[in-house]
Amino acid sequence: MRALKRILGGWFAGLAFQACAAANISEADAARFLTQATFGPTPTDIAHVQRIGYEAWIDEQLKLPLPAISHQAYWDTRHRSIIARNPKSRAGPGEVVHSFWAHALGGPDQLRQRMAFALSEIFVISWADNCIDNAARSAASYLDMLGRQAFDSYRHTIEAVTLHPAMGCYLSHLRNQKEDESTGRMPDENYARELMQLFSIGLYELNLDGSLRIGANGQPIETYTASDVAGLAKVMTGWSWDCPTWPSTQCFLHGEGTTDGASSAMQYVRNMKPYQQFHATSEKRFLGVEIPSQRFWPDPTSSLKLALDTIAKHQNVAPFLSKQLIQRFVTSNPSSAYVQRVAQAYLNSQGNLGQTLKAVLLDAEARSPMATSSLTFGKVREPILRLSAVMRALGVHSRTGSYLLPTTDDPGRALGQAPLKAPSVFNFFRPGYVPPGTETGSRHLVAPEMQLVHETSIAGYVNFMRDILFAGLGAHGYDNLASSPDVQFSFNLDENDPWLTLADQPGNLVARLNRVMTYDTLPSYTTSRIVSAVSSIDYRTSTPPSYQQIRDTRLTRLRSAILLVASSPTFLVQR
Amino acid sequence: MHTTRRKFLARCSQYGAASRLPAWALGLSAGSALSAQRHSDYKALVCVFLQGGNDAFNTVLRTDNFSWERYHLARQSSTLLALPPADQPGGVLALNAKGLALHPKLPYLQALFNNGQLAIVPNVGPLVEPITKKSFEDKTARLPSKLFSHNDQQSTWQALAPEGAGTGWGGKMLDLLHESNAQRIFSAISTAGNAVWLTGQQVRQYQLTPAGVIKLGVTTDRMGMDRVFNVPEVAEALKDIVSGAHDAHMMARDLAAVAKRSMAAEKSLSGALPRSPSQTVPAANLLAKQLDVVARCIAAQATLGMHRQIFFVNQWGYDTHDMQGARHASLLEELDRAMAHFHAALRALGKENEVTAFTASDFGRTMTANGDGTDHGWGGHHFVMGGAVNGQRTWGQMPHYGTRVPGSNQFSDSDHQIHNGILLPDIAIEELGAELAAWLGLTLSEQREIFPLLSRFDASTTRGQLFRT
Repeated sequence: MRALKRILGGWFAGLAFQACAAANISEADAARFLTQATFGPTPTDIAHVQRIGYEAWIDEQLKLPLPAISHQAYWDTRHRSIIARNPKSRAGPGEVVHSFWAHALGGPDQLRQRMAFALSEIFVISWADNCIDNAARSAASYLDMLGRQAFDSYRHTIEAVTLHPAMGCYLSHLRNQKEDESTGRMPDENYARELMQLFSIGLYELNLDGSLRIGANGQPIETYTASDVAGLAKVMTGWSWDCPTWPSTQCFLHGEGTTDGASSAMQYVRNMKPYQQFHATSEKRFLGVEIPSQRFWPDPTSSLKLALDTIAKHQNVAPFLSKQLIQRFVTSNPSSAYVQRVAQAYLNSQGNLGQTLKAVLLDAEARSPMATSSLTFGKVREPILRLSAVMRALGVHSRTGSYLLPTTDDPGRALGQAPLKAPSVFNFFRPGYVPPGTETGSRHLVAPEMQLVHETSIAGYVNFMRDILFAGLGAHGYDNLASSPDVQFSFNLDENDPWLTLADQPGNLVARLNRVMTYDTLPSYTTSRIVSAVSSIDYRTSTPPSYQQIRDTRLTRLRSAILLVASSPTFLVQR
Repeated sequence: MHTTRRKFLARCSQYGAASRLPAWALGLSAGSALSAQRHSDYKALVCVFLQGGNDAFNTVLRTDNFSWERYHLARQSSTLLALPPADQPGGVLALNAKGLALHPKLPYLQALFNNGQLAIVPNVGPLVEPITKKSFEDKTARLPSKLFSHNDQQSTWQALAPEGAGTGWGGKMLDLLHESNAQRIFSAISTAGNAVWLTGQQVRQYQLTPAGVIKLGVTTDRMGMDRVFNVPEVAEALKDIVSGAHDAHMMARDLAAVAKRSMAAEKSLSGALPRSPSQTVPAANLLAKQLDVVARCIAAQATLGMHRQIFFVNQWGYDTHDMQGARHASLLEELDRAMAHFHAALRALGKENEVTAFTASDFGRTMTANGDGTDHGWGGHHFVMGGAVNGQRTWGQMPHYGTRVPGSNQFSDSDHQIHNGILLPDIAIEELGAELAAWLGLTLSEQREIFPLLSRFDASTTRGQLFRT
């Protein structure tokens, strides 16, 4: 963060040099692009995009190495130091949240981190469920996996998702057993169903442009039936912990015998292993393929390979996934042509997620400057991305360096959303959510993120932002004994912060915030309302004004201006 | 809150021809303004949604030897999945009704049932027409779409159509009732996020969390002046910016509308909402906390001038694919304690006869076990609780349980069960909904407006009355 602040200074000093770049990208254009592609534009990144252009920036990001400290490594370090202090205590989901924010706010590999976040909203696990809550280390490893897979192929990714023990635990295919005539036991259908409905093909057959294919009877065509679910459920039997006594029954059922996910057991972070004795032997039929009876040599690995090959080859995956990625990064209601172009890029790259994402971000529909004047293009910013955008734009400092942000899922007191804490596998919001009684709904358009917006959460968000602009946020240090929250806006710490001096000129201050937070889209009414409210703040009563009066005036002006921009419906909609 | 006859008729015209106007509307004397007070008494309906698909087989049990044996046979793969009989420790709780019992963790609901304040609605679920095992198997019956899918069946329970439905039957009931309310914004209240059940053509839901009403952005000083960072001008600008339609983007306008409602509602509700009418909310019970704030709203009914209200509360976690034994027990214990708390609060308010609560869920689950859990089903058994309920009985017939055909997942000896012992619903959501609508005071023709398929279901007279009054 120190680095960020230095560059921030440079950015202010360099205001004069706005004529830019081979690509002739304006500051506002760059800020808009980075709002779509990252956790929020910083002055540094804006300048960098202006200099090298969108495509080169993406290519550069695609080549960046994985972070030196993984989520799991951070978690393990914290866990060791927590138990060293108190053997009865342990690290938990909170440490995963810290690590998420550390990478989101400070990571140079923004595209990867942002993609991992998007994937965490498609291939959902959640610590709102006991299973993950008790196995936080596994969740850290899952988030690492999503980052590793972010630019890999879909086929590799869906396998990594399927075999991760966090997913196995969350959707209960871990320890899933074959049918048993003597007890009437049937295979667990949970993962088989959600894999098809949510992670790959969806409920109805799609054209490449994402529209529904219509059958001979004039109706949409279902992609699968209850018997496909039952057949695929058999494939998902015979997978469980990777523990030292694999493939023992003891290991299948109980792992290393601990249910404490905080332990160092590798079973929480290693792919699940096949157990042939628990794999269904009867024939398995699904999606038009059949795995013959495996009575003499049941083989979970080959069954799974065939199943995932079949699913990954399904014509629905390209449009199903492409449309959702467009929705996560750019707009809730892409044109069918946009979906088709991205789906084509997916196919052209053999399902490479990095190339698909590049097509999402570089598409003419995403980049068109006309989009900012459209009344329908774009999406509601989800709360996590609002907070990250404000913190990255203004600059924050973590005293411990670990970004000890709190869990922010309370809608009345915080954001109504926290990383990896969706209420169910259906995520915080659905891709097809139509907010009731709205203009969006009356236009037959969707607004997924609006599912999180209601009378309580909209107030909770504004209050949360107001409070953190004043006091910062997070635990008071690792031991909670520090005098103030761990994460602070730089302007609250450093009296020479360039934002503070800018507050002497409210018009320039608001213009700057408008540039970096809303890429020059604030309506002129809103801008002048903010400028006049901010200008009314002036504690400089003595002549000459005291140091304290100058500082109070600047701070209150700056906090007010940020709050007013961050609360504006213009900021809340990314376009 | 008076509305003009012209406005009223304009609204009615949205619902169909004048010939289908409800009787009370046709009784208007010509030229007189319609009184908003269609209802001067108070009634509230509360939907307790068991999110994830509740296992009905372990919630309400048939204890006759025949059914019990078959239930145990289907669930013998885990000792925790088949509940112990009533005469064993930790066994099911027998009801004052022949051959029925409740899950061991539902003692309060057992007492309510036996006191006549709780009824069971057996095997209810989404249907588009009456269905038989035969018409299901030979595929001649029309089926609800997207069966067994969580989000779609949640939507179907609430809005009679899969995900994407714009209006729910709770909200549609209130479209016809909310003019009785002085403050219409509080007609439909959710404590659990956006629920399509509460959305009508005109009625919008108001969101309230157990924390109570949240004031947006500003703090109000002793002189009544709003301030942000102690600055009145910033407070005024904030209120204007968040709630004004200054940005023409459709989503910006939608967001501003929510903020405007938030601020208006807070103004009305913050002073009116009393403390909890009962002493202590059960600890670590999110459902009880939601029902507690519902009880507080009900306590504010007279102050706010409310006469018909509906509430939506939600309990997560019923998707018990694994470790069902312990998980389901703990969920039902939470439910039982929350309902006990709510009932006590209503009694303290003297409103137990004016409030009806009912459970709903994505779907029932399979009778077969997948080891230590169960999978997605269709029909399920539900509860209707309240002083007005014709309790201590089932409204309809419990299904007949069969046995699995060896080597398959079919239950050929039951007319009520399909693959994996899933229940083929006997009662349509429309039929249950119409009973609840009638209790709220909606006429049969209004019920048919809200539930267009209602007439397909020949309301079985053998079920009798779900409500006493």
